[in-house]
Amino acid sequence: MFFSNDALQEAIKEFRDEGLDLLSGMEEGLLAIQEFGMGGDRINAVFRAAHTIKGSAGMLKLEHLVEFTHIAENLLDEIRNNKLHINEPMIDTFLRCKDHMQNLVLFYADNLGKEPDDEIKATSRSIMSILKSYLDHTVVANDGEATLVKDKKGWKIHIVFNNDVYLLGMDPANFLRYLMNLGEITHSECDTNRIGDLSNLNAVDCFITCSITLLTEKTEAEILEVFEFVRDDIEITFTSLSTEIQNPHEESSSAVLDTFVEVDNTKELGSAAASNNSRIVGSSSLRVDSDKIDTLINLIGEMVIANANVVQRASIIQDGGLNESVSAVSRMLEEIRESAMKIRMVQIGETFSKFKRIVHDVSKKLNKDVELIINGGETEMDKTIVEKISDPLVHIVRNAMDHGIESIEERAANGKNPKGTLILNAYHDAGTIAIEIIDDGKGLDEERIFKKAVERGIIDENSKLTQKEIFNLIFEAGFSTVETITDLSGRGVGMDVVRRNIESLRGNIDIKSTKGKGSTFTMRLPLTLAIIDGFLVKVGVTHFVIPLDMVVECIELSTRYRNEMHGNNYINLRNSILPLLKVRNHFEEAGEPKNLRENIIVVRYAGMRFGLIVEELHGEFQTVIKPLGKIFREIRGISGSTILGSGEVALILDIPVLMNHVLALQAHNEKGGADDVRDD
Amino acid sequence: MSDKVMNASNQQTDEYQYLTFYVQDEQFGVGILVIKEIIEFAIITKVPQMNRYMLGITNVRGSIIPVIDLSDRLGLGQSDVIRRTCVVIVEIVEEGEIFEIGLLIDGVNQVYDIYPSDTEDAPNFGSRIRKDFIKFMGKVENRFVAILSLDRLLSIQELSRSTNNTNEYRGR
Repeated sequence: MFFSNDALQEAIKEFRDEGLDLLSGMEEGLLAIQEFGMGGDRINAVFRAAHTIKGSAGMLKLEHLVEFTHIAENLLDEIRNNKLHINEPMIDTFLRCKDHMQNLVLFYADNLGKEPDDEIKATSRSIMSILKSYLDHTVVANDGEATLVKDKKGWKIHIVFNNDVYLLGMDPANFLRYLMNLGEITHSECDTNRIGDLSNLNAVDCFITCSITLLTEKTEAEILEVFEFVRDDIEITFTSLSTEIQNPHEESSSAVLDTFVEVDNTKELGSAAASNNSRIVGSSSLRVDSDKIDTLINLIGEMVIANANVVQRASIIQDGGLNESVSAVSRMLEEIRESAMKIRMVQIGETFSKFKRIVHDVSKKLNKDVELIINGGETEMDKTIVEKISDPLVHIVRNAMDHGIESIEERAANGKNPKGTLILNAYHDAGTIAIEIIDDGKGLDEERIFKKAVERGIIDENSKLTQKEIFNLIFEAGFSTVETITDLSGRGVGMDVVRRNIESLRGNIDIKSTKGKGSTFTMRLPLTLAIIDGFLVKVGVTHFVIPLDMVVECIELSTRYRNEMHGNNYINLRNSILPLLKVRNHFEEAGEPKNLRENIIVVRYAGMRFGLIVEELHGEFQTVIKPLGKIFREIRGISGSTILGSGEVALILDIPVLMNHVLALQAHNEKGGADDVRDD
Repeated sequence: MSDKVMNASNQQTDEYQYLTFYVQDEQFGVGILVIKEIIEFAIITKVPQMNRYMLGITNVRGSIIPVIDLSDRLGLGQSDVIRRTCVVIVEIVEEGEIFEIGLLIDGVNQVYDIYPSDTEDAPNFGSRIRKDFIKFMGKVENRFVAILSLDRLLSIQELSRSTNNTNEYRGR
């Protein structure tokens, strides 16, 4: 057997992760070629991706994947060597190719030791036949297949397998056998000097040392890839025969690699070297199981709580030295917390670039011309959040292209640029991440949405709704304005799921739209799910935490303000109206406040402000969010809890929900209390 | 006797052991297998919009645990905190998830072995508490103690029902 079962499983897993990375790089490269042309290193990147996958697949004996990728690789090679000009249909074929390779990679990863069924093979064959038809073209264009032989070179390869190769579950014979696939082995010999005295021989050790002469068109680096899995356990030396340059590097394989990065400048080797170079860069990042990071972050969270306790006790003792040490520890803990959180932070750009493909495919399908502009791809956010918003984003983008952006003809007729624009925008805003999806399509049609909502029985036809409320109707379950259901969007299951997904992440979504000009969907999401900076206040006997990023200022509810209120729920703050919510009343806190001094915390969210009336202010507090659990799932206005230094539990206020409540109250007052106010 | 058999027999006796405790001078019991620990009365943070018997949440070594007033939940009126008041933390599985919940009681009594032969069905009438809250009546020292059915008593469906309804979001 080639690998032990565990090793194989491990290798396949690695292959899968690496493969998916390479494939997404391949896709990116193809789309870049389509957009900007062949320049730069783009085609090489695509070729290398295919090549590396083939190499790894070969190692793992994934025959069908090798066979399939081989054809694609050949064609890419022709393009790379300027023997064939890449065109639009070819890029489409390559994209299909990439998708299929991805399916194959996933298939092998999920079905250990099996080969794909006939159905998958049929797909392979149909794509392969297209690829072959392109390849046939080249041959004609280049007067025969002479090109293939031309590059063959002789290599003398000296390989020493270390003693523990067998113990690692590797079989040298397989590697050597695989060499035959690369070219023609003209000579081989074995060096038996290492074996020594038979009576003292350790039977499980490996003593293989051999020299092989190989005639191949592959480069040294490519040959080296055969030994990828045992690279650390072999010593390998290459001597080029055809060029007569003796290169007796008596160095380990990786040193040989490094030399090649510097030395060679022929086109072939140059690209191979670049490929290795990129792998070296890649190895500086580490794949870690996200569970491990979660455990770390949980532990740090516990530590932050424990530390808050220490800080509190130290402040009672009032010992200068102790206070100093405590604050030093606190400061470092804060740094540790930040760097731990950063491990989870990823740039949103990766998710965004996925949309290049989606926009490409969807615009083909709908026969629309859409340009995608991405801004703020470097904005970082928590990986969990990125993963969870991916689907909602896809849905909104598809909707925007399907329902928002008009057809080329329609746009031309309305005097618009026939090419539609779709903008993905990400930026930090007041401790949240805002993601905007902007299209310059026809915008939302208020009347149609209203009519539809009445038809669907979502609202009453006599309802008086603001424009915003009408737009929000599209998030209701069972709402769809398009009569003909396309396979892209418009199944009426979607926007409600989109909103639910976003709300489950403590985020929200907002729509702005002008008829004829386009729509903007804005998602607001928290930076992270685990720890926030909070502002601690007290109402009655209960502590509440307000996310600090949303706090604008604190003001005393002075007698002057109180008199101005006249029983209304707002004050005039520097000439603008500030609606107020009295936390004590809202949460029905028992008892009367013992001191009548109350404070207003001005909070801001999604561009609006309101004030919370609280009693005591306790200042900033690092808050480790503890979910309240299922029992409290029906509570509105509280998003979680946290443990204070004293061991008491504080409740975290859900500002977005409270804000909706305040707005609803306000709207209710403006309408003279005639209509019912919707829940949110 | 091999270890395996020993363990099995221990398991069996555990199964028939019940912790008894006082609620408003009356004794009740729950199976010890679901009990995680018993803690002193700690500060409980009230959570708004919940039923009165849901006292709120407390911190047990870094975990947030909801606590209910068992007396109030059983319909015997609100408890006063007395010297022997404590919280029994039980672990139950509901809706496919394990969760912990604290029961505020007026002091623990002791653990009894109650075998099926010493049990009777809950009486159809005459009990001060809801019949479905009682799993069965167990006989200890010639008295009958109601062994509580936590499935019903602590059903998330019922506990999570908040007093918050749409009225909450209409003008006050």
